[in-house]
Amino acid sequence: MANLNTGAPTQIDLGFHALADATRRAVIEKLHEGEAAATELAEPFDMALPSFMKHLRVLEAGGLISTRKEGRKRMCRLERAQLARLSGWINAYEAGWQNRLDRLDAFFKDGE
Amino acid sequence: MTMTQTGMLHRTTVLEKSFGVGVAKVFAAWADLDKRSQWNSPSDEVVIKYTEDDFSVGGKDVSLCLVGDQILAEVVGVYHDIVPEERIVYTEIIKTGEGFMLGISQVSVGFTATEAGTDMVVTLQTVALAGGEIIDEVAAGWTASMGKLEEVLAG
Repeated sequence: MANLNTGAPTQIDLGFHALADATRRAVIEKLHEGEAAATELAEPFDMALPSFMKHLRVLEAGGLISTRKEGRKRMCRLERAQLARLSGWINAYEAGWQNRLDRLDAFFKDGE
Repeated sequence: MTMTQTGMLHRTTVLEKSFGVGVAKVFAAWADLDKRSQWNSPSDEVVIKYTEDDFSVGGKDVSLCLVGDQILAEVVGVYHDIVPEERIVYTEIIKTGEGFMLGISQVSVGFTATEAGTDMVVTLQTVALAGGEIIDEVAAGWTASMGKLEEVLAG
């Protein structure tokens, strides 16, 4: 990890920090169902909205959620990084297969 | 393409290819390890090294995908159905060099004789698993966090 020398937190560190709290984990679970407004996410928790918004900022800094303004609402959604990683792997695997078949074609054309 | 919360992603892809040679030759390019080794690499940079080879129903072959001396992946192929010059059905189990599971693919290969030569259809039914990469990242993250904790405690 390159940041060991500089002390600057990486995305992974921020992500871990974001997950090290029950409220924030509950928000992530809720967002699995889809995008939601910050006020709607805050409802089940017995805390002031500004405190809840701090949790959302920590989640955002950790790359686990993204937020956007929609009128007076702040909409939050899960950043499905894991999905991106998995689909990235399948894409590479399938592209590799396409290459294999092209190479097989070349193998025949070269007269084996 | 759907993601479950259980860390799996599934996809089916069909690849079709026509060759100007007969079915016997195309089938042999799969069945014969010497021939298969000459084309069965996902890219020019990747060298495939077979450590086991058993092209038979129930048989298993094991290969390493190498770039230089770095192991990109270990692939275990298990053959489930082989009908010469007609079809091959097998699974590829793909792990990182450290042994973390990346994914499993069922590969169904069909051969059809045509006037021009052979039509071949390869169907890949793949499940990507949240294994190696994510575990690696978690481990790296913890190592970094522990390192920083040490710095803080020492400071």
